[in-house]
Amino acid sequence: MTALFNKKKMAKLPGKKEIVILEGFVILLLMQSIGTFLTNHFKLILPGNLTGLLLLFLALLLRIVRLEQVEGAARLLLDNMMVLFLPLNVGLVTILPRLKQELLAIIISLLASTVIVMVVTAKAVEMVERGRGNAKQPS
Amino acid sequence: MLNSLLKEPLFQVTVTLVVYVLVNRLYRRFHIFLFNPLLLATVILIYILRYAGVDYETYSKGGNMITFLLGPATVALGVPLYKQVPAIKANLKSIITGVVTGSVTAIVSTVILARILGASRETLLSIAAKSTTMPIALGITEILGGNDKLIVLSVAVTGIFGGVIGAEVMRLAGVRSRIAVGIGIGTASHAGGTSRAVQLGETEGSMSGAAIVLTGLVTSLIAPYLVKWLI
Repeated sequence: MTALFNKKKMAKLPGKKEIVILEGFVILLLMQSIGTFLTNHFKLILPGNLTGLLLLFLALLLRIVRLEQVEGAARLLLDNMMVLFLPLNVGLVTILPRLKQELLAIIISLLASTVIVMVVTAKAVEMVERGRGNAKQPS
Repeated sequence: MLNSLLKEPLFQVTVTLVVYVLVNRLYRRFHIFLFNPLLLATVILIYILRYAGVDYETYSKGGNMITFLLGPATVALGVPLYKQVPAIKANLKSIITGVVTGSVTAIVSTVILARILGASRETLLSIAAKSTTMPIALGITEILGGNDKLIVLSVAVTGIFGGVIGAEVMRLAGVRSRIAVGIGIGTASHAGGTSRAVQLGETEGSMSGAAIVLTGLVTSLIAPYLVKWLI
């Protein structure tokens, strides 16, 4: 971003970095489009955006897309994710009446569930690790 | 004349971005914990819009332009997933076990608890995906037929809470393995918890990060069936 506001560079053609970010954004949109098409066409349970995520992941693994091509655009979007949610957050005012009624139930279940998930997940992982440890010991 | 500008999507997009940039600057300069940037920005925006006399329906015309970018942002999660491949491969069995166990536990515990506490059907559909990262949670909730605003709130609450209590819960539960601590925190509370896991150590941070996108994928595969069955 700083390069964009650098006066010396402003006069020149866009730098390589800016073009890469634009290119990366185009790749993301293409993957999202193909993903959405696949989801709709084959009635997948995965949302279209997530099919797009998997396509991008595969494309990176198979080196159809190089990391440098998408990293800049991905970082720009992911690092500023918060602003993308602001409009929906503002929309909370529209469900305020119902929210007030159920707020306590919602908050308690969210908090309790978060603790439960943490502990259950970690214990499950420890069980797998212990199993692996025991298996290794005899040899 | 000003009044007509207030109704333009141009104004809605601009005011949203301006508030975001300013709050981010404030947050960077005065890094106070209670000063949650998302909450602060939301409150400021709500007041500005109310003062300007812009109702939500008008605002959302511009707001939707910003929300649109959540699509490519979801796809962009493929990049961190790709970068985590070595870390995932090194602990494949632990991560798969943790993420699958955690995703099922998250949906079941959230829905059952809220149901016992008397939440409505629509609320159950709107909070079931709370342990997944924001853009994925939105996609899942859309398919479930829940409320998009409520899932955004739920994901934020879960992330903040996971970050605050993650380390303490793991200590109290007597979890010793660093890998287990990381996967537990990341699966339960996505990026919010991961920001804390990173401070605990490199292993905790990378495991927590690796769990985020995988939890989203697993949850989106099982949520439509599991939630229908639970409700």
